[in-house]
Amino acid sequence: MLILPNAYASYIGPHGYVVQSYGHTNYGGYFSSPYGQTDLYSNWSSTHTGSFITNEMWVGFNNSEWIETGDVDGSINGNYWAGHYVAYQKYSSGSYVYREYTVGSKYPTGTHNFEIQYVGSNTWNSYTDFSKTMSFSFPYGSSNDIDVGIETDDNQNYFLSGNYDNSLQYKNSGGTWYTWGSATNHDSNSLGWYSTFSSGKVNFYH
Amino acid sequence: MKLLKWIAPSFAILLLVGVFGFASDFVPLTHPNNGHTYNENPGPLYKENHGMDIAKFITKEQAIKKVVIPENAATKSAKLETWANHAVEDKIDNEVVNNQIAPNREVWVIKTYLPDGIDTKAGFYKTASLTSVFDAQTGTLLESTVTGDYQGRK
Repeated sequence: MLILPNAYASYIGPHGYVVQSYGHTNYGGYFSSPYGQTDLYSNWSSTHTGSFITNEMWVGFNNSEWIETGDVDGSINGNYWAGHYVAYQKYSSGSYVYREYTVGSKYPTGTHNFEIQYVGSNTWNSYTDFSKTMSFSFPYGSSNDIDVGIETDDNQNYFLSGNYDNSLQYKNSGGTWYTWGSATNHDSNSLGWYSTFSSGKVNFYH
Repeated sequence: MKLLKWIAPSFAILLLVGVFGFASDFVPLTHPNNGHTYNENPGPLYKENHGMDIAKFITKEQAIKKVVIPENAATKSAKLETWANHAVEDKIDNEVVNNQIAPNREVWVIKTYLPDGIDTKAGFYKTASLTSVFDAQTGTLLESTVTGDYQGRK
């Protein structure tokens, strides 16, 4: 990838994605990330505050509402964060809201895992490293799609070669968890980034 | 006899509706890795500190400065309150439970108006309002909310 000097740093629209999807009804998702924020590099600075790159999972209800969790390097609506986070977008009372939460402390290292699941009564829980972090109320008793991958809004951001997520799983209505047997590639970017899927693992390349 | 002819099937239908009606929302709480013990009630990372000397907190000015915004944005309010009060006032209490933060943890809630909008991870919000919540003791960003006219991912 061509690295441009800061003077030419630019935001990209639409955002760039390298994503694999499980596009079936589900009641939760899980993935493990061996590198997390340590393999993500953003061009965030005090004069370039919108820049971010994530490695995360989205559990979706429709095109505009979902819960997401994973790691970010860069902007949380302008503020810098490097580490775990949870966020959601919801339509309520005639308008949308997008809300992000930091999880734990900055700069976590090593392998971490993330989970979102439905627990009944319109309640969805998120977990990081086997510990519940948040509960959300959504008027949906199932998800129609799980995506796992990388998102960025800046062509100067990057991830290290060899980055991957593994142990991609979904939960069925009976509460049983299964490793993804297959996935649909939803890579979408102008950066030359791409992903592959095999046996519950997604590999990222640039 | 005619009445009995209707009672039995009606009861059967009610029973079926009752069973499947309740069962359709029952999804057991399970986890993919049985070998680990999940913590469903973790103790908060940000513990209760209501009543602590406010000299140990970041100041209002410091909290406002933490919100990174463009020049034409305007700070609308800055308030020191407990996390629980913020959740009620901003109508989040019926929507979100954050297990990391004790209800009586003091936070700064900074509200900002962004007339030119903001591009979020979810897409662009036109004429947006940004609510930033910082832990008063450590200054850590806890929660960031954007509302406005959602334009989608562009």
